[in-house]
Amino acid sequence: MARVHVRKIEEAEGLNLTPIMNMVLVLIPLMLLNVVFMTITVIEVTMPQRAAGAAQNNGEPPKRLQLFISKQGFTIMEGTSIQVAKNGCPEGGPTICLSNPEAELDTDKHDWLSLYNALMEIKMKPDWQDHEQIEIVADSSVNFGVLVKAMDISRYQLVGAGKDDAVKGEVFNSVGELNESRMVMADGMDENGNSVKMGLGMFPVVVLGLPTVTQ
Amino acid sequence: MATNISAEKQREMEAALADRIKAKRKAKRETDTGSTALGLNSMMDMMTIILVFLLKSYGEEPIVILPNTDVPLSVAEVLPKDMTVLTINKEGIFLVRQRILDIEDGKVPGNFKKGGESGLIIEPLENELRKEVEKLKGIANASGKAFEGDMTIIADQSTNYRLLVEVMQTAIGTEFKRFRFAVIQGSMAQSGRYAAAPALN
Repeated sequence: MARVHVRKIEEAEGLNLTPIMNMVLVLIPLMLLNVVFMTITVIEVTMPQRAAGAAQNNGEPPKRLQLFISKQGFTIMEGTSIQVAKNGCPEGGPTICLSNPEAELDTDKHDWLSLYNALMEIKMKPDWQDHEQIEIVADSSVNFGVLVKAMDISRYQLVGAGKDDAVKGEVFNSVGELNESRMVMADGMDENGNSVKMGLGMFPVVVLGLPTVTQ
Repeated sequence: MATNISAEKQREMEAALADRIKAKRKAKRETDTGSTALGLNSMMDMMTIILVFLLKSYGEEPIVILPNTDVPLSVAEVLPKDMTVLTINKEGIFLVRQRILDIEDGKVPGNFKKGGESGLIIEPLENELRKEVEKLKGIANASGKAFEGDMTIIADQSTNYRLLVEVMQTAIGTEFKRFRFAVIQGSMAQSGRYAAAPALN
């Protein structure tokens, strides 16, 4: 009699979890396969509307900073003057030529260090320090990866690693320094009006222009 | 005599040892057959936590990257919002998940564009976007908000600038105004490259 009693208690104690376990075991690998452990962020850009036209600031031409990207390098147009070739690049060519033309990826061919330094030097000039907009125009054949990197380089002010309390960006001497760099952090607002720390902009407003003809 | 005693003792010890081994085996048999359930409680706890975590991270992503799309890395820090998502990858152009048209050698064939090869407006995309705008305007009206015309573009790293501009110009023609390029967050060294790119040299 006592034995039967004990048995009943034992049966009542153990819930049968096998179906749930089966389901969970199937669900977990399925979701692990699907889940992407990457943070997706966005870069905001605008493109001039076709209808929009003439400048509105009292007849004066608007102050423009333009960056042309081609397969040969970058050409910077500061206001109305095109910057001439620097750092030993061939005359008559782009302002900044390729640093590694043999690289496998298009992104690795370009001289990002010189581009960053050239833009930072413009930003340091008194009459450009409040300017926020950069117009990027590329050759038809320039790929999206290069465009994204060009936007990254021109949108943020950077400082070397370890200089967390810097308030302004600096120019770099080597690609290594640029690669190790971090953004200058400044107070900003997010979309809900909360104050957050965000990267200090160099020319954060990107306007894309119509493509130039492939050479 | 001494050897007899020690022999007897040895026998006793052997018998005791045999008993002990028997007892051990019996005990082992009993535990083997006696307990039917493994202690799975802790594993169940763990599984439940992982499942909840995965369900959460699965549900909150407003942007889905379609297969065959090598999205470049960038240092951008703005998080995406739920809005119209257009994907350009090596195969074609997709509105959300619906394939609109195929791309050949990184180009939209001229017969799909207004004005042929040199045209900037992609007709099948324009038609689909117009429908999408109508739908979005309806939703905006119903919820008492203005239609903002935001679009997120997910592009493959190899997409050429010409195609990107064609897509954006087509979208501008259908009342989209603001564009966001979706990228994957990375460091400055990785910027412009893609996740599966050959190693840096």
